[in-house]
Amino acid sequence: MNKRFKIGIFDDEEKFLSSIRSLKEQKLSIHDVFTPYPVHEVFHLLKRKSRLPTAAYFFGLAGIIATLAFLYYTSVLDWPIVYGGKPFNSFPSFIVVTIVITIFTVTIASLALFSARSKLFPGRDNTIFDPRATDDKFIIVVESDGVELSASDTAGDIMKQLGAVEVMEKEFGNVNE
Amino acid sequence: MLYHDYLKANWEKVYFQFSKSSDFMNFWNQSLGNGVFNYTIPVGSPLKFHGEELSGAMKSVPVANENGYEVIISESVALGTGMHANNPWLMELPDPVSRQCWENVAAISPGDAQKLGIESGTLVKIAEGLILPAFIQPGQADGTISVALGYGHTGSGPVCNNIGVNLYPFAKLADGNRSYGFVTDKLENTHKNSQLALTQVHYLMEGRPIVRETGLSEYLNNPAAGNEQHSEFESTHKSLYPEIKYDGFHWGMAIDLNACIGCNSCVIACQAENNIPVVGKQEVINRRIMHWIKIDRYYSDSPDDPKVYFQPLACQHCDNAPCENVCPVSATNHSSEGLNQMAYNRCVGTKYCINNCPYKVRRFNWYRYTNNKEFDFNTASDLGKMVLNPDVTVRERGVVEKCSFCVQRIQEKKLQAKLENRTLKDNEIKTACMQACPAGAIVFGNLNDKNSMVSKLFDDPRRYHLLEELHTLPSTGYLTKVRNDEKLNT
Amino acid sequence: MYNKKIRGPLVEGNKTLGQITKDVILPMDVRPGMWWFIAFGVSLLAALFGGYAIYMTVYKGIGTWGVNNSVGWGWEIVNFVWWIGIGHAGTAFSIFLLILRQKWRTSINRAAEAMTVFAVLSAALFPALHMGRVWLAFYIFPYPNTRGPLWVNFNSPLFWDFTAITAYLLISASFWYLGMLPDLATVRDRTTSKIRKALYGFFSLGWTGSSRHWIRYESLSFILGGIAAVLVVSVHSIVSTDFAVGVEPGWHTTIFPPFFVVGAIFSGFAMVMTLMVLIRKVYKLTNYITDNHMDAIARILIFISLIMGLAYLTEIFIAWYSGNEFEMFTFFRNRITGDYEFQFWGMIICNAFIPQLFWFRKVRRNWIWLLVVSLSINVGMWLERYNIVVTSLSKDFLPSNWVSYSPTIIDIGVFVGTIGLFACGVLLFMRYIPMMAISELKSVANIGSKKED
Repeated sequence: MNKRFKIGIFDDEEKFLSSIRSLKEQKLSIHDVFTPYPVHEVFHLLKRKSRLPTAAYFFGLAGIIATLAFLYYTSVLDWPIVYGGKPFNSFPSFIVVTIVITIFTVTIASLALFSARSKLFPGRDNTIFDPRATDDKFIIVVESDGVELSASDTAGDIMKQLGAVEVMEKEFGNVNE
Repeated sequence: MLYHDYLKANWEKVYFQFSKSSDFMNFWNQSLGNGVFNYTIPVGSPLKFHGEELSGAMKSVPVANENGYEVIISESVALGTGMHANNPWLMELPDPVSRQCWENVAAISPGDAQKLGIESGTLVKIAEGLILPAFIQPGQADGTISVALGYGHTGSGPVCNNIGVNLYPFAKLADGNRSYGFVTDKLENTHKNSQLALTQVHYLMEGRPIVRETGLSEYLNNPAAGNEQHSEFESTHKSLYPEIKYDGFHWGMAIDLNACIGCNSCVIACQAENNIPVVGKQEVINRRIMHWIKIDRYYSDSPDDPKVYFQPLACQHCDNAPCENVCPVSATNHSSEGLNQMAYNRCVGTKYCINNCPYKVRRFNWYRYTNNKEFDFNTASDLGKMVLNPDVTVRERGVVEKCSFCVQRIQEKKLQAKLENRTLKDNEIKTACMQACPAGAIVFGNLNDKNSMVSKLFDDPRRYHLLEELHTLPSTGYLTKVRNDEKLNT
Repeated sequence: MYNKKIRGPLVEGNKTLGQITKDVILPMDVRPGMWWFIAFGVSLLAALFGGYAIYMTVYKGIGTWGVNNSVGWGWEIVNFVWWIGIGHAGTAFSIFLLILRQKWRTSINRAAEAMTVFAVLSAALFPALHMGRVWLAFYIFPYPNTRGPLWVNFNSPLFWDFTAITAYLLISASFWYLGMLPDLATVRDRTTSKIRKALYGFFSLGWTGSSRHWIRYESLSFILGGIAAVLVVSVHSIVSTDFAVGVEPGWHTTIFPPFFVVGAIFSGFAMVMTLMVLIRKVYKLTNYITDNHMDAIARILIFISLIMGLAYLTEIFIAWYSGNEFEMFTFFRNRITGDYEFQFWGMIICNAFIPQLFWFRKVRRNWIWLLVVSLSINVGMWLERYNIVVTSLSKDFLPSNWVSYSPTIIDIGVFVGTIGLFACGVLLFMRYIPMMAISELKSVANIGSKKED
């Protein structure tokens, strides 16, 4: 099933932001916006949030516990060996490995989670609404399907008024995002 | 006449008279079968002392004039007359004093060396056809040069051929006596250099209490004389960690520095017992000799008349071994009997343990020393491999090895005692070095048994440990050297 | 935060966003000059020489090196520590300057991170090669096996080291790659070549620059940045424990972890400076990597150089103050004087004295001076590691074990090889990957420029 989108292209960050604001005021549903660099204002306006830090915290906790448990199991329970007159549970020696493995766990797990949640992985073919988004243009994509024609036009008008260099309507097949 | 006939005739003439057998062929076959013939020379044999010939021999000793040099031709400790020069073990055995191997050198005095601008390794011309590397030997008398016999073979085998210079042509016959020495007028510095295969480069203790020493009268006053530091270090013997208990055996070794004569027997015994590879001259020059036990030699006092110290050094089997802590793959760790053990198959060769051993007694297999034509000493040929001890693993290239306290012998005797259902007796287990030591300087045993010989030696106030300030807690103890040269000095 | 009146603009020449993209991608679009092919050929030759040396090492044994019974570690460990130190620059740039809110890092961090990855790769070669039986290197993994299972020795600094280096390599590579994602997408969207489109499309993982991507991207960057900061500090601390945990005189000191970390950042920043001087020269990127950037790195280098000088003095003072005869011997008779005095004084002059030239503004703004000083710091840092590794081992506790050490041609070959490998990596990076973080540059393009006035 094809979907229709109204696409506004801006070359100025300020104009782009004010367009988003007024589209929001008009309660028009913004599908997504695309920028060449992260614009923090957008995250507030579109209420985008990431729970990655919380997840990372738990990855870290799991990493610490698992590493310490593994070290204790291997050096004290499974096959205790005397090295240089040290006790089997030589905890100070374990700290270093624990720190590193924890960091490692957090990194790899967060990367995996990022890849899964953002749907970014090798070979992934996400819909590119306009290729200039990765160059120098700021792009707003408004859903046109299931929206009254007038509303869709309003969105186009608002964007044009607020300084879009170009406004167009495009149809896409499967939208990957 | 075949040599066989000659030998037989000689046996008939000399030994047959001592046998109980009536038929010579019986006696001959029996002795051959046994491989040995024991006999005792009857008391009151007609051998007598020929004092008059001695003075004749003395006449042939060369005496140099003021500017000349007396060259003394001696037998080296390792090779003797050179009969066994093709034995690689002996070829690589360093001289106890010069600590040099793989060729013969011209030992000259420090004074002469300075006069002629010679350094150790400088090639010097002593006589026509006699060019040797010089070796500055502290204690050598000015105006003398000593050179070892037994080198310079040309047809005796692959190991010894063309190594060193043959000195026999210079040992001339005079009045029916062979004169092991001659006089030369000139010692010529050729200004060419060669590298000497030295196994020890630095010869001073730098004021460190490595070999502890005392005089006889001090010792009689105070048996701990010269070893005062030991009690000081013992008093600060503390650890954050709980001490590890050894319930059954705790193997230990005591080395009496007073008894050690530096003969190197232990070195060869260890090499034979533990399949230690011979590495050749170049690798000795590269400081990669493999001996598990070595005898360090130190000098003190003036180079003209130094005091010499010997110290056998092998793995100390420290209870707090620095090497064990650092091995990432746990190839070296501590046994429940206090041994610092090596699992060769586990070793990946990081060499971290070598670095972290303060005694530097760990050895690395830098190359493949077995089945390698570049190291054709013993183990490159099937016949040569007959020297290998089947009880001991032959190490692969890239692994670390070191003294194991002859763990194969420990296990053997333990098993034997178990089979015979008895406890192990003291002195039943002898390490190879202990067995070979002619002076009884090395004693091995169980430190947990208070009556064992080693425990008694450990109770001796002369006992100390090498580098005990590092708190490595070695299982090897040394006994202070007591020097008795008071009469000489007065 | 950023006072442009004092510091000057971060991106000069009043660039628009489109121009930034174009300028940065330009070296990827055009055929590189002759110099590139010559440099690449030379690097490749060096790498091949290294390949030969590595072949000899693995085929014949560690005996082909200059190490011996007493000096068990030689050039290879010196080089390892040196490369790891250089490998600290990228992450240090990205992380520490991020934490310190130093926006000027944006034009440099990509190259610095690339350098990190290649340097750590070069470094990682050495511990592996240094194993007598490298084919059994997997023994160092604590995996369940049929030998007991026999685990590994978690007390060994070498195991810590192995863990830290592996983690550092993977994490800095991921961090670098993550930062590259938006730029790879930029290349994908601009290129007309089909192969490039497919290739960069594959590696850009389907990045579109949507707000959903950006929010997660930013938060992931912060997470990785935050924990990698801990890692940067810990990696070289752990490398230092290889020595500090040992008993050898000159190794067994508590100053080592901070001393090593600072030293690592020192050599890393110096290497960044060397590369940046060259990159801005050959690619004429002076609008992005401005004189102010070089000035800032130079100022940091003076500061670190003073710390290094202090650390050297502290070491010597403590050796004397401890009254430990072995320490005293190592420092006073085997480093300051003795067989290794050339290396010791070389280190002092290169690391503590020469960088003081950066007090002069003229020196900080002259590219030849920058090159000379930064190279001399790298030499000095190499000498420092040589001092630590070799002098301590060559003359330690028992004088009977004292030996000297000198490298063989194979030792030199491995080192030259890693330099070749590193240079090859850097040259390929210049050719195929955007040299600066385009998206980050765009976000700071307006800061401090005339446009904002």
